Amino acid sequence: MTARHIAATLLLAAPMVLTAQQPVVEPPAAAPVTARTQPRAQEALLPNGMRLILLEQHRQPVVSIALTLPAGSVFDPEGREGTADLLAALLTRGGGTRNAEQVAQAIEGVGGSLSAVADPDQLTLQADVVSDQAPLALELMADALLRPALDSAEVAAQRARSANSLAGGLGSPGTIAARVFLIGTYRASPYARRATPQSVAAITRAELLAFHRARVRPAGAVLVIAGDITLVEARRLAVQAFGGWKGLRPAALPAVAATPAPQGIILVHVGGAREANIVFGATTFAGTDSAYYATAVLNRLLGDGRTGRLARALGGQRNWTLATGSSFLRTVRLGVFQATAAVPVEVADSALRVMYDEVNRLRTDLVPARELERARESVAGGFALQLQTASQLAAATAEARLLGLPGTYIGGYRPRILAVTAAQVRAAARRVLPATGLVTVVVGDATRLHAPLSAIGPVRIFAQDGRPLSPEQIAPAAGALRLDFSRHVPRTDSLAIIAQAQTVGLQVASLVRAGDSLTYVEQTALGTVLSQTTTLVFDTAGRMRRLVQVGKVRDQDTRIDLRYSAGRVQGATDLAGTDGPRHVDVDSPVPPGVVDDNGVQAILPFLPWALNTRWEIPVFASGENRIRTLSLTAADITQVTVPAGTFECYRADLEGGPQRVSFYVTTAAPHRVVRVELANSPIVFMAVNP
Amino acid sequence: MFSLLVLLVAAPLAGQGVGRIGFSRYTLSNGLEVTLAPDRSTQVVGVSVWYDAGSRLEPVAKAGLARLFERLMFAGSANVPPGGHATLTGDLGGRVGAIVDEESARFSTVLPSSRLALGLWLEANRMGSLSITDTTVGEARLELVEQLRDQLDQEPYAAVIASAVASLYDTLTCSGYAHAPLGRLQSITGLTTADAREFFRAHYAPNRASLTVTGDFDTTQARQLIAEYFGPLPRGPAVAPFACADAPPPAARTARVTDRTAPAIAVGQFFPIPPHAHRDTPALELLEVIMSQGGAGRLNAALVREALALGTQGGVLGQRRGPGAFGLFAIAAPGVAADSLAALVGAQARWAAGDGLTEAEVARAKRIYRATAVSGRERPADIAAALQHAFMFHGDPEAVNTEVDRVLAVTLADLRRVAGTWLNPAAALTLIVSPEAAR
Repeated sequence: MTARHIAATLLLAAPMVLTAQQPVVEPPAAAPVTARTQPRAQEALLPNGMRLILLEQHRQPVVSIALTLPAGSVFDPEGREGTADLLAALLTRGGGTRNAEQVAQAIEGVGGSLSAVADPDQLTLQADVVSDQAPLALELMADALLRPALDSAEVAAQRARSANSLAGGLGSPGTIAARVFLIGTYRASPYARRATPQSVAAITRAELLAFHRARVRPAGAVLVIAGDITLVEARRLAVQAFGGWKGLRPAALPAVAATPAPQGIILVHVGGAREANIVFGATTFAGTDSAYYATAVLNRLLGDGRTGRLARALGGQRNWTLATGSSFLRTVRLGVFQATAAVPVEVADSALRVMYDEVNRLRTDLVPARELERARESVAGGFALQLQTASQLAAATAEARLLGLPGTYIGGYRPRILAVTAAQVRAAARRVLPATGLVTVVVGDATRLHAPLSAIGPVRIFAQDGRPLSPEQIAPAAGALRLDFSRHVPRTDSLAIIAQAQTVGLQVASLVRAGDSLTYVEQTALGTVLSQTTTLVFDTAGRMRRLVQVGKVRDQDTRIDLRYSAGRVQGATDLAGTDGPRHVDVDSPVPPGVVDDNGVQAILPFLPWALNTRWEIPVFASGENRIRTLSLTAADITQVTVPAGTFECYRADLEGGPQRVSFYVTTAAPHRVVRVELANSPIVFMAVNP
Repeated sequence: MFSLLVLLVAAPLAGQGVGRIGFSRYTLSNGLEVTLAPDRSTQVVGVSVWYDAGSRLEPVAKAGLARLFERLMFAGSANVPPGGHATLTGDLGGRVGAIVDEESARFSTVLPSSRLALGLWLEANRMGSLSITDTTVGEARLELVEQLRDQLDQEPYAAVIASAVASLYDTLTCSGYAHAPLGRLQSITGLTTADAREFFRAHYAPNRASLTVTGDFDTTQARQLIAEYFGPLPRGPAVAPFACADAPPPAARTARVTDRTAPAIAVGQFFPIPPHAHRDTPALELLEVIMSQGGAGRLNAALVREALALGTQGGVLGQRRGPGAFGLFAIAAPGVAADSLAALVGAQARWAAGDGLTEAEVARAKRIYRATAVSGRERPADIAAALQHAFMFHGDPEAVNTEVDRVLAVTLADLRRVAGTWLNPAAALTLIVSPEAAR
């Protein structure tokens, strides 16, 4: 075969190889992005100091008007946190000659919308209407802002709504973590202030008016009008609506300096929590700082919910995360950057180490080109998609202006982001997530978290209300085993025994008083496996007198008959054994306060219940003919739903016996047992009677 | 002279219904209809493909087949991995959307403007080489069963209303509309890979599709990319035209059904109406606003505020090229019997045809209709949908610039006449829904 022949064969074969392999065509690349100059902002300063910015655009007959002014929550009076939010919520609930319903009808009747919102720095009113309704929109906005009704009934109703919704979220570990983190980073700065149900409930109408007088002033206010309107008309309407608004420039926000935070981990104790919520980060920079662009790219690289480095490190094979991400807040004076994760309590320390490692890698290594490119495009593209309507354009322009950013900011955003380099991302990581000075907050069960977290760094423990706790204090307090049988109310409870969603048995327990004795009778039937009746007699002080248990276990008869008296237990047990019945005579000394191990569930209603309390209970284990000490810990308070209803319960864990048992006991008297779980067993007991 | 120039440069649109959408249109040799509507003031592009592949084209025994493609179209293609269409778009800050109803299969991708080429490439890839395998069809079928279960378990009244609307149509002469697009458990589980391949071959071809590009792009460049990506795709087979009589039969009857997820008794009235392109449609669309928009909407004012109903809804039930339906729906307040609620709902329909409707209400409805139309023409994806609608339902994208004016020109007399003609309770299907527990 000649060389030429071989070459010809190869040539012929080449296309066949190509079709056989079906080469995958790469997606087309991105086109270059240049800065935008449209729509060009036209500006006018009104005589009263208010700034008018017009973004003229005649694509559709729509006008969006955003009025923003420095009256955000950072100006809330101390102890009245939530004032700016409450005022914003009330501004659209009546103003000028219209009450709340008339305002709603007026804007709805032209197919428009009117809203108000408070951010940390600013309060913003916004109206979107068809352009020939611009005069009405400005009239409604001026009425809302300058002549709000602040009707007493509306104030009371909105205040209650706000306080309730705050109270609803207050106990959740995520909310606690976010709140403690902001206080930890911002420290003495007014940005650290957070509304609480108490601070909102305390706000009076007079205080809202005082805040309004102090902060709602024309100087410093920015009125952005975007859409189908000319400068002449916009100016005429703005003067007509706001020309009469007078007032001196409001007090400026004092400089906010980053204050170094103490080293270590802030651990907020939530007893019994099975998850740990982790937040760490630091304060960043002022709103106009050009480090913003690299930080935005860093945020996407680190904390994107699906593809970010945290999601890949904690999720994936480890599968630790319930949620993770990062975010950053941009404010006029000083922002914050934070990384967050919610993980099972067992892996909290490992997860925190992994998160620190990921951050450290961003501080030391340059991000690979492809990953960087994807993050940049994602940030820039997301921004473009946020600017599709006149309403979005007006809101973004108003916010940018109040942050102090130049008029070219929005048009130049995408090229700025797309030009961020790997070195700039690394510099941003070093700056906003510094190796020293990170504030780390973990919210969860400190009894389980304190030791493992201490191996990472110094840990300070706090209660949910901010009280510092010592490691000793988080250990459950020892409770005195004082049974208060005077609380007894005669009752009978039925618990269904459920395994894999099937009812397999029933337990009925009742407690009655007769003469100087209390008699507890518990009948248990578990299919054909077990049926037994246990009778326990106590004296009125809660001391054991007698135990009789008669039953059948797998067709074998069982019987226990014991008397407790004068520091001894005497009697006999006949139990089912592997080689047939087993008879044991009992005669042993017992400590004072001993409870038969068949009687633990019976005494639960009479304990002095309190969260995070541990009782040591001496029991006589009749089956084993010996004394044991069981410990019962009220570890958590939780809502429990069983066929009988939904109850707030203590979860009390019984340990020291052959099997860990969790009892759910109602927090309200008569402290019923509504659910029982056996560790490593599919069997659950659930109350069925109301 | 100077002032005239200023007016020309920056002319406010206050006098017009909606702003004019400029576009160019052409057809590729393989039959793909292309509409290009650039708008350089935005920073995004919208790529929209509508296929004439709605559920009305599937046989009743295969109900759900058209809907299968809502998911299947994201299953990947020769050059795109499974799910790649959505993740490639999402990674760039973009968004995807897919809807299949009786009339059409509509796919929309919004991307930052630098990524027009990617958006077109993704659409051309799936039009040319969608991955239809036992695996991808199996996943799509499972998803559809989930949707059906969700509707039955979690969306009170949705399934019984869909069945009621389908029951307005004759199963022989108008079988395409006589079943719900979501299908039934039996019909869905019976769908095969071969069914999906055949439906795709017949309907997902360039000559069954219309491509619309909106937003920030250069027309010349877009034409080149479209020629490159879509030009080589082969034309599909000819499909027999869809047939269904234009005049729907009146449906004077009452159906009583139960819905185990329904929280309360509810009543619906369903009125057959003519195809979307009919001259009475503008008035019917305005009647929808009058009946159900906002607190001052007629159903809300007459029923909810009077403590007779807990909630109401009313309007055109999905735009159709064939005969359509208008519905009025109310959920009974405690103590209000089904039959009295049915009488009350019927009275609202008659009200529109009588002297109750005023000029002021018509003016309010027009203001709201116009505001909705205007805000539906701001985003590139919405502009694309409006152009696609104009082309599919009116045969010409230019209808996008006249449709709103037709509605704004409707008079009080027109409304009374149209309400009298079409919203006639004596010719309506009345649906009475009871919670299962009540039986």
